[in-house]
Order: sequence, then structure tokens, then C-alpha cells
Amino acid sequence: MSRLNESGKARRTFSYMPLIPRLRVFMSNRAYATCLQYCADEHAKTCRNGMTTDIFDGLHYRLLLGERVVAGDQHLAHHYFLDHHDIALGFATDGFAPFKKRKQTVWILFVFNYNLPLDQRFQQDNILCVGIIPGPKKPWDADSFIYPLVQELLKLAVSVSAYDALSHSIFALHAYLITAFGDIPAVSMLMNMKGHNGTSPC
Amino acid sequence: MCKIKGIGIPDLRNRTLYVPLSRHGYPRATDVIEYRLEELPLHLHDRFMVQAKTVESAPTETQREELAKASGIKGVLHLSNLGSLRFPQSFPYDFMHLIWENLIPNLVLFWSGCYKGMDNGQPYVLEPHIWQVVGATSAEATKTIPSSFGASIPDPAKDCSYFTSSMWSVWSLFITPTML
Repeated sequence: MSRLNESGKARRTFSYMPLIPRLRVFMSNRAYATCLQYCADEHAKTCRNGMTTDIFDGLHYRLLLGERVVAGDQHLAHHYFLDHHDIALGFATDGFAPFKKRKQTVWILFVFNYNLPLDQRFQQDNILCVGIIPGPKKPWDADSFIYPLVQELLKLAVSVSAYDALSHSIFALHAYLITAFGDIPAVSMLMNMKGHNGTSPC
Repeated sequence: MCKIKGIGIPDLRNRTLYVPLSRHGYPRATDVIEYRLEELPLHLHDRFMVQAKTVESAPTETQREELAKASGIKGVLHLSNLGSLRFPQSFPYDFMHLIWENLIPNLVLFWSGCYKGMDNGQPYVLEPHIWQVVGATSAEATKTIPSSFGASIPDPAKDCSYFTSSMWSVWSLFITPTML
């Protein structure tokens, strides 16, 4: 079957909803920008050595702290999460069957904002849906759908200008993706691996 | 994540692969006879990237497929341009499928002696009357646990199929520590 219908239009389209404009809006909103300081304020004050209460206590985040930012081939001068505005992001995807008793799935791309307090970051209003990969089957080439997100994340690693509602000034906003997760089939898809039925299943 | 290899049951149509640590007595040739749990061949970021490039730059499609099959890595990925991601540390598998929907229900099958008919006379199997008491007491306990702790649970000795992952979580976190 052709990917185009009789009138020459694509049968399915991929919707992508950009991330950068939304992060900019959050920063320019006083209430939201205050919440985003959770990591820099509240967590920094309450964290204790040897105790894990959040992703910021994890080895991966702590190792990034001393490193210079790398975006593609560019080695940049600034360090990860040095500025209190810097945002830590997580990315997840999963197949979802929108119709009852049908097997067709769409794959939804989610971004999570770890700078929000623990009890808020996974609330529906704070989960950012960046894209919906149309069905009916699992995407054959997931990378081609993730492409616009990675382009935005590269820009965010370099820096994007934004307005800070707390200090009433323009600043350089950075956001870094530190995790990509899901169930085993979703993670295998994201990592471009054979998955749990392969000869190297792990 | 590690590079452990799966092995199938020889001469069987069923193509399911298994990953036992020990391959002693396995009739076919295997690279490794015994994997040590403390020394599993872990995936490391730099080598993962090198392998992905090797697969990607294979001269023919057949060779690429062979390399991908051997390593489990199908090629370079766009996400690897982000320096803030580490392979595989940044890619955790979800807890729900691994623990609440797999490990705990399987443990229950072991304890109740129902694991694929393989438990006959095994020391870990609980006596049926003990397992029934555990089940009934668990279901009884749910009446006095506030709902903010999670869903109320049925009797695991009777209605395992009704258990959702959140029920397994309530059962194993709040009830089993005093029961088992």
C-alpha cells in the first residue's frame, strides 16, 4: 500500500510540538519559575551525603556536574548544571492503543522536567508531550521521529535566550537530557538495540 | 545491561531464548560456559559507541545484520549526539514490568509450588496450608490499611490473576515483610 492516499496526501502524519517555546514560557511565569528552582534551592539544602532522595543524588547526575557540555561535535566552555536556571530533563516513550479491542498503537513522546518538586513533576499538567508517532505499527525507524527533539535538545545544550520572571532579566537557558526510559521494548527502540528476544537480549 | 548471550532449546520449534548463568551440560557450543553474577560482561559507554559505529559502517547489509545480531546493537543513534546521556546508564528499564509484573508474581508461583510444574520437593515451596494462611491473612490485613497506601488486595493464594501491579506493590512492600 502506498503511503499516500488517492488524492496524493500522506495517510498518516507525525505531530511534533516544540519544547523550547514551552520552557521559555515556564521561565517567564513567576509561579512556575519559582517551582523550577526546587533543585537549586530545596533539594540542595536538604540533600545529605550517602542518601538518595532524588535523581540529583544519582551517580550519573553527579558525574555530569564536573564535566564540560558536549553537543554533537562541539565541546562547549560551560559545565553541566552550573547555573541555577539549568534544567534536567527526562524522556520516555511507550506504545498506546487508542482503540478498544484493536491492536493499532501510536507511540507518544514525553519529556519530564526534573527541576520541578518530586510531587509535581509527574502530574499530568507538568508532563510535556512533544510528539505523537502515528500507527498502526511500531515505528520502524524511531530515530527519524526523535530527530526534531534531538535538534531542540542540541540547541538547549548550547543555550537559548529566555526571560527570567524572578530576576526580570534575559538569561541563557540550558536544558540537558539525562535519562531516556520506558519498558524493555521502548528502551530497546530508543537505544537502537535488538531487544529482549535477540541473541544478546540484555 | 550486559552482553550475556541467550541460548535456545536445541531441536525444538520453540525459538524462545533463555539466559541461564551456567551452561554446563548444554549440548551445543557456547562462548561462555559459566557467567559469574558479580562479573557479568557489562556494556560500557565508549565500547557501546564503538560497536554502534562498527555495525553502522559494515560494508554490506548482510554483514550489518550479522554484527547487529551478535552484539544486539543495531547502529548509531541520533540521541548519542547529546553528551549528557550515557549508554546504558541513562536508559533505565521501568520498574513496573520488571518487578511488580514479573519478579514478584514469579516468586509467588515458586512459593506456592506452581512454577511450570518444576517445584516438586523443592525446599523453597511453602506447605499448602501455610500458603493458604498467608493468603487469607494478607486479604484480611487489607481491610485495615488506609487506601492512601494503595489498592486493596485479594487473597494471593486464591486470585492471583486479579492482581494488578499496584496490588503486588502494596502486598510486597507493606504485608510480606511481616508475613514471609
